Amino acid sequence: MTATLKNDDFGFFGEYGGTYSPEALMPILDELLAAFRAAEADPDFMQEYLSILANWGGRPTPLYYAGNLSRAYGADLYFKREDLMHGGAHKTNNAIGQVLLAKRMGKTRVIAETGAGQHGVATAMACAKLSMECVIYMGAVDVARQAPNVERMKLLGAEVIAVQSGGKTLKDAINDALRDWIATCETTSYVMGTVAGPHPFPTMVRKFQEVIGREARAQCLAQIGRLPDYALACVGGGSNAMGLFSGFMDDKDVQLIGVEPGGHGLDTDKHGAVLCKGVTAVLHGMKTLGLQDKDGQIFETHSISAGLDYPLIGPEHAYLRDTGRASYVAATDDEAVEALQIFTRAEGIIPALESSHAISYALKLAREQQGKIILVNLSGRGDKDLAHIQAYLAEKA
Amino acid sequence: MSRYSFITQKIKDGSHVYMPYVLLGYPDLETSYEVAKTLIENGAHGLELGFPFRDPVADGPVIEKAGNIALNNGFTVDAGFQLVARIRALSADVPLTLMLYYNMVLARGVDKFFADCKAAGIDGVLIPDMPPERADTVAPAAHANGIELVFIAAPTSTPERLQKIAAVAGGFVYVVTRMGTTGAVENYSDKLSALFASIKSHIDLPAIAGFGISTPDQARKMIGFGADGVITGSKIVDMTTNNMAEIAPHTKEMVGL
Repeated sequence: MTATLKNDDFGFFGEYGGTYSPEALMPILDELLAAFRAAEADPDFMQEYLSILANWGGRPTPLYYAGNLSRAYGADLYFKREDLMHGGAHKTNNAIGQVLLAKRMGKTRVIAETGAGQHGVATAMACAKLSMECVIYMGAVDVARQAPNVERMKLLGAEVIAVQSGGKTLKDAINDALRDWIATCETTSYVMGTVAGPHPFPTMVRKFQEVIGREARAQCLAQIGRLPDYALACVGGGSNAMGLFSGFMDDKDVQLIGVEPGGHGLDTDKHGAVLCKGVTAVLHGMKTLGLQDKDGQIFETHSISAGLDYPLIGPEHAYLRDTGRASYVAATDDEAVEALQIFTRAEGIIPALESSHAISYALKLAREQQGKIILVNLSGRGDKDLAHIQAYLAEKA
Repeated sequence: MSRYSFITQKIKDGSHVYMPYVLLGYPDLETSYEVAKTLIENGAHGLELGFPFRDPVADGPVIEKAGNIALNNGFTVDAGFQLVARIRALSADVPLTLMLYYNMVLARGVDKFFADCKAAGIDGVLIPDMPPERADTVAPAAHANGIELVFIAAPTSTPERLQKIAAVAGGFVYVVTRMGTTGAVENYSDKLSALFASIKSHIDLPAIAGFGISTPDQARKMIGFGADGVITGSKIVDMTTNNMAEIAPHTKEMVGL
């Protein structure tokens, strides 16, 4: 169906992707795949999806020329304003698509994992709008560092389950959500928040995020009269990056760059830079890259931003890295916070800590590539991070 | 001749088999060795030996917690294989099935992993997150080393899926008799007779029931539904934690069913 990448219906991107799941889940994954293929081919379904994104979600989001920063850094910096999306991040694009699909499949209950809480909020919003029961799994550490989003989910009527196992972050939330799904799959849909997990999730989440790249490409042509030299996005699981990159995949002159969470630095063990430092791994239903020890035990990662704190990566990114179509770099916690402050004061927009990783690298790139056009996906707004940033800066002072 | 013929023959003779699960390294290597020894000495017909994994998505909270304790106490795959070899030395006949997640096979290297299995005396390997569609990635190495691949069948497995399993499965079929490990547990008991009948019509291997079975009563029910034998897992971990002395009488009772 998607012609841009080699992807037969076993869900492989080169050697990555596929379906590595317990037998109990395999029939339900087959059912989901068939339902998704039918829905994406159904003009009525896609029209309903796009219509909700427009009149409820606020699409299209603007392409913003950051004049102050462009003058200061010597390159033209454009930002795709996913922070203005209803809910405050790109996650809404995907959540509404998958919850619509769940409803079409006759499910009555939706479960989801969340890291920063943005996907949880987006799913809770979509469930409220489409009248579905909603349960969100969130690591206990993330519940503590993203309190405002927890309150938003509860207000929207979702049940939030604080996961106490492992490192109590996104990886553990996915483990428990998958277990719930095995037990409840007859009535329940699992709404995966990123381009990861067993087939069809990486393909399906990308499909529902492609609207970002499609709009951005058309806006570049309309507003600038040409395509950008670079398209940048932060990468945790990789959904906002896949959304942006998908619009430019066939435009070989547009360099695609993903920016990973460098944490305390790539020479430490406290980071989440899977594409920079990972090895082949199988977990959460997919073959991909992961950060792990020699026995295959997956590490707990570190990032200042909960939304990037994940030791695996969407399999299509692993494929894009290997084929050279995209390249991947990292920004540290310190660099992301510094970029957040610079951006906020220069442009009057508070970006999410996740997006600030991409901004940090964009500013570095602007200095090196004077006069070039750099497009950055501003994947979310930073209001949710205020308490965390204050605590971080107080500790540094 | 495969050691699994030992259980196949027992079933043909009209009895049922008990094949408990031991999480190696829990709470430490020596204690788990003692557990395996007690099970074998009290007549267990086969053992499932689990290598602990930090993210065991197909297991419940008891196994996950125990696995983390084992890893925190220093379990490594190297030590695990040494322990398997010591358990093999306890019995020349009892089939030993290693259960572990796909990533651990991949991390060791598929060829080296199955060569290590053979050297340690393993008869079969069950990888719960490897569906039959992906078996081609390990089957050549497994068969080159004489290792059977054991698969899971679930209440949701369709006839088409059972055929896929039948094409690659060896040893026995591990029948998951309930769905899920946490949350609302559906009661599938009304469907279990049909499930065992369906499995047996597609797969010519012993159908052994596992997951959520801990008492002789539950085991008898499974046998009534058509199971050729039962596996207990979390129950062994519980007894290891709380009262090791219970393991011997429990085993004797289960073996006698």
